[in-house]
Amino acid sequence: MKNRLENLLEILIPATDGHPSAAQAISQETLISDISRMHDYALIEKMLQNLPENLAEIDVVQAEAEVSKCESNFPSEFAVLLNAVYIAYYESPEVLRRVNEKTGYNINPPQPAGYSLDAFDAELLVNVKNRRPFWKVDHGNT
Amino acid sequence: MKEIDFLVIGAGASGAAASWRLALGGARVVCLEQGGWVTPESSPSLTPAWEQARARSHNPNPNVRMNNWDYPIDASDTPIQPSLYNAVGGSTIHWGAHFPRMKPSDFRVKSLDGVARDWPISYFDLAEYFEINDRMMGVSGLAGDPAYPPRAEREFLPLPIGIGAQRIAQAYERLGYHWWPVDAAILNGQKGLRKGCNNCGPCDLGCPRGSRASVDLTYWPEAIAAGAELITEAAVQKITSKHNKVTGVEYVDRNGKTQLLKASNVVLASNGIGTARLLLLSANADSPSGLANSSDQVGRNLMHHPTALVTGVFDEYVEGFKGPFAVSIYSQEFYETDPARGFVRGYQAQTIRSDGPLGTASGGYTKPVKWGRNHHADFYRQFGKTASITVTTEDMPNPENRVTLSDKVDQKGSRIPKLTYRLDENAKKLLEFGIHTNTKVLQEAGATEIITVPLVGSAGFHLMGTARMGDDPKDSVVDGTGRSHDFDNLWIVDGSVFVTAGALNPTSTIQAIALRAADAMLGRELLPPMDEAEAFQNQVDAK
Repeated sequence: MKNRLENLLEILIPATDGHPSAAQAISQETLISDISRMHDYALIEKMLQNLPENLAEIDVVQAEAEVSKCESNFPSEFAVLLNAVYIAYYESPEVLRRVNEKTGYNINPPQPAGYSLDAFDAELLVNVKNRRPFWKVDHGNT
Repeated sequence: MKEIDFLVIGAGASGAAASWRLALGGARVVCLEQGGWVTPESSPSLTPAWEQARARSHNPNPNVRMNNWDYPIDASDTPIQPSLYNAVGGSTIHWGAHFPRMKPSDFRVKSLDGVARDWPISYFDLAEYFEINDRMMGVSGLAGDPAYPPRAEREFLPLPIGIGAQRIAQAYERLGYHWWPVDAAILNGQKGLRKGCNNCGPCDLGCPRGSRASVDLTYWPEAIAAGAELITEAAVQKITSKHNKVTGVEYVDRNGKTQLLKASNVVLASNGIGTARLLLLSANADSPSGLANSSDQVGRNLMHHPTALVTGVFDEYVEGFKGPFAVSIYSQEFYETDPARGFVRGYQAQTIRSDGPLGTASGGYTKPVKWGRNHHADFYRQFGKTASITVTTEDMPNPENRVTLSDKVDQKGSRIPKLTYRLDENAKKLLEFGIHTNTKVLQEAGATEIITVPLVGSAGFHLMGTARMGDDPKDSVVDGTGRSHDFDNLWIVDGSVFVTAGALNPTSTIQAIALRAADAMLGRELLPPMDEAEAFQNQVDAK
């Protein structure tokens, strides 16, 4: 039987459009360890206890409503959990591979390759280039 | 061994500049830095988990990062969380390198607008020092901006601004608003061993190419070559004093041993939080409320730049994740006071780029993407399709916004700083106005959706005002050269000395002040001020 955290992960980021769900992509153990680094995980546990045990079995609209209620009642704890979920989810190679497939985004680290961009085009400075100086000084030169 | 002439505390932007200038002037300089060296090659931008590093190990907030070199900061009573770095290079290790100068009006807000107070120095007193600093740091940009007094040709041409900023620039032109490519302390070409920028994006994680300036790469090699000594992992606990002289410092070395170091002069360069903390920690029988604090101004008037973020979502890719994140173009159209607006002073609009996948989802520059069934659809609606404008507003000095000492202690047993800060009504109106005007700009640029963050809670990266300069010892901590009113051999050269905050990134100005202060410490004649009227007329004539 799935635990409450796993059920919640399925609601937060479900498997859609070729992406894994958060429950599939994230190790719960790693997630809990990451949260515990800065926060008292017992408070997250307490929040989870307020979710219906059968969250995975009820209609998704109703399930999202239950999660929204939880977010309203435990805003700090929910924000901590959601942030940790996003951090872990978007580290997953499977997720990044799908981002690459859909957008062409290079999932290699930004360095050492970097990106190529067009040089600054000074022709963009049309009107402003000819504007009278307007730095304000004590003598009224505005 | 020759006596230490100047003992500098802090090896960041201001401490490095001062140490270099002092050592070059023939003084014996020792700098104590509580952090160590961070090699450019250690940047997480070379690793797959670079965005996760930003969220954790390389988070700008020391309370999240929890590096051994950091001290915790009690930020429970402020809506703006601190952002700073402790290492050789200080916060230039993780900054965005947007490098504007404060403007002439920033030094004269009392005269011009009847608020706060004027500085005892002017933009024009700093003009030559700005130029020296630009050469040391390496600046890309374009001379000729009508929003500023003339400045020398930049060493490198402006960095590429990218598709999003191009659209915003064209919108500014159509609206008749000022804009200009930024001055960036990022190289658009080779300079010595430092390579030109390759537009990778996350400058805040360190730059393996050395393109983005940090003072461990710019000032420190030159300072050390000139004879300055740098002692790392040396956490100063207090400044010692006797009667009306400071005598040196007490610090904990890397082995945990307490050391005493004597010096003829002590120079504080520990940022707007660290400097105030150290002065307060150094209280003694002669100075019961803290060192150099006869005015009761130490720690007061903490200023940030309250920042709003306005993001435009475009229908097509603008590839916002390409290019140095903080630097492209800026606008100072609404920088000065217009009484009709119902508030004083103004803001700078700085166009920034967008994030990678995690930053997009977790709302690095905007808001977190909503969880639930539509999460992926919402993610792709934004990813690579946004450009943001930061509304950087001027913060008025308020004595109740301050750094004090918490009852909690750090790893070494010293009381940690506590921040108490409230946004005033002027700043709130300014932010609202900035959101309104930049919504219009982004709509003009073709954005189909606007996302606003009314106050960026993580924007505590500019720390100013907590040991302000002034002519009157009764209401200021240092004079116009950074010399303490109470101790003539104690100097402060960081952002603490700011009288007002301006509405733009302060590092360039901090460093210019530090260079000028160093000349004063050496007893040199200060570099002559720029002739304001002549500069203006020349600029008008050139148009």
